[in-house]
Amino acid sequence: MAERDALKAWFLREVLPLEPALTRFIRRNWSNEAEIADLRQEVYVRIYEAASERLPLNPRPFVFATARNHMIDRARRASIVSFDLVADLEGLPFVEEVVTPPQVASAREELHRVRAGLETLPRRCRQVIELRKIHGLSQKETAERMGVSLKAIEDHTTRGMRRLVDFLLGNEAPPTRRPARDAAGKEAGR
Amino acid sequence: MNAERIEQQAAEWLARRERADWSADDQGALDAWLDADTAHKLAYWRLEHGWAKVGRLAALRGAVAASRSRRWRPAAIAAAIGAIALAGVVLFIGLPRDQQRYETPVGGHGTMPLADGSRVELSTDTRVRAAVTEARREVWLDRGEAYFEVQHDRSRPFVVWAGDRKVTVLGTKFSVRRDGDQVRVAVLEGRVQVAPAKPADDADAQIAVRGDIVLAKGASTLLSSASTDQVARALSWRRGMLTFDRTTLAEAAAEFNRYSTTKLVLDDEETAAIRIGGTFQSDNAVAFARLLGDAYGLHVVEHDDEIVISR
Repeated sequence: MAERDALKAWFLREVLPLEPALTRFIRRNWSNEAEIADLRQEVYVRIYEAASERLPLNPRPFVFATARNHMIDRARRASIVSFDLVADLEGLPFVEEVVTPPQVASAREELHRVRAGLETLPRRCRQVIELRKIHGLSQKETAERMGVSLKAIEDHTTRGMRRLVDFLLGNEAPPTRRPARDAAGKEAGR
Repeated sequence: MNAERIEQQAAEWLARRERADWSADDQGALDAWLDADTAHKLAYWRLEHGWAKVGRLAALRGAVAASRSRRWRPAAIAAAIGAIALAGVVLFIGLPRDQQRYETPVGGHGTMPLADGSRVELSTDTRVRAAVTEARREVWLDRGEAYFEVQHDRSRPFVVWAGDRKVTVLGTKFSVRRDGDQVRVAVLEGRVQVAPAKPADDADAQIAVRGDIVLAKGASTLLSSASTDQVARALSWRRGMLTFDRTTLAEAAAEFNRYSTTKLVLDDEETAAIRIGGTFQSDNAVAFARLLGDAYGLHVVEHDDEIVISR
């Protein structure tokens, strides 16, 4: 368990802050927007599993090399993907060159992002998050105040949480994800 | 693998975990889900990490806004809090004609407007009486903690009686708190004078200004020119938050216990001496205790009316 905690701390400290750059890196090299989130998650899993064998000394290049290799593997496995893509990926310049320097967001920047994220939430969802996180009401009190069920509060919380964490990590969410409710059902191309 | 679906599940777990009735069985189910797949763990940790920051930053947002002169937002928030929590304030009638009396239960929070336009915000387990007439403005803090926003009126000084101390102001923003025979005054704006309630007492009058905190107990009065940050921290209860900075667990637990009938109990001295920092919801001692379990590997056992924390 202690080992897992150490890995968790490592992942949150070293890998997660790279998420915006990693997402951009994947998006730039992958044509299907709908698969970006899956790819990123698969890359995380590969990183985590490799790290549980041995922690990489230098996490940044390791993260991007893993992403690159994973995209190449995926492109090879998918029979319909053109070989050009694989060739392009293999020809990527040394990953460090394509990646902007790491930016550790200051508390002020993070605050700014959360605010920006709040602005984009649907009204009710935003209200729930504000009552819960700013006014410190419990779920039950929030439900009573808004006259809705606990389940509804949890649904709003869930949606708001996902979106705010995206904003906090500095992911430029593609415009297609905007209407939070429809996003899942719709074709991801714009 | 479907990242979208897993992230949604992770978010649902996190939201459910904030339920008041989260049980050991629920925790078991969550652990099983986490263990089932590395992707589950990573999605959950990612959201958990970000979500904790959302909570912290929201707290910061109030503090930052309040310390500047952007009055609208905090005012609106305070009004909303007042409206929400007013239900918890009990108004007693049948006192002397010009006296109002308000009190909050443990965990309560409410605002009482005074006839002169000043307002008093009550923290947990607090009782306040007020008398505002043409001639005088007086408030008695019978117990607990209150924050005052006083309308400027040179002709009618505003006096707060707290235990054996008398706090006098013209127009300003400050809080007064009683812990047994100790009185603490934190000044957010303007000037206040803290003096013995009986002029015969030995302790001298102290003038405190913006950013100062006065601690008065018995014959001694300690004035520390803290900082506006520390004053903001002392007032974080107004946002339903408790803020600690290198605070011992013993002190932190005592703070939480003021707000809840479920008490945090520290089982040994070593645990009590651990120092922590951060901003927490005052009404969620359970979440705080769990965080201690996660962050310090402490042993947390929840009973009906107490939560025991030990090594």
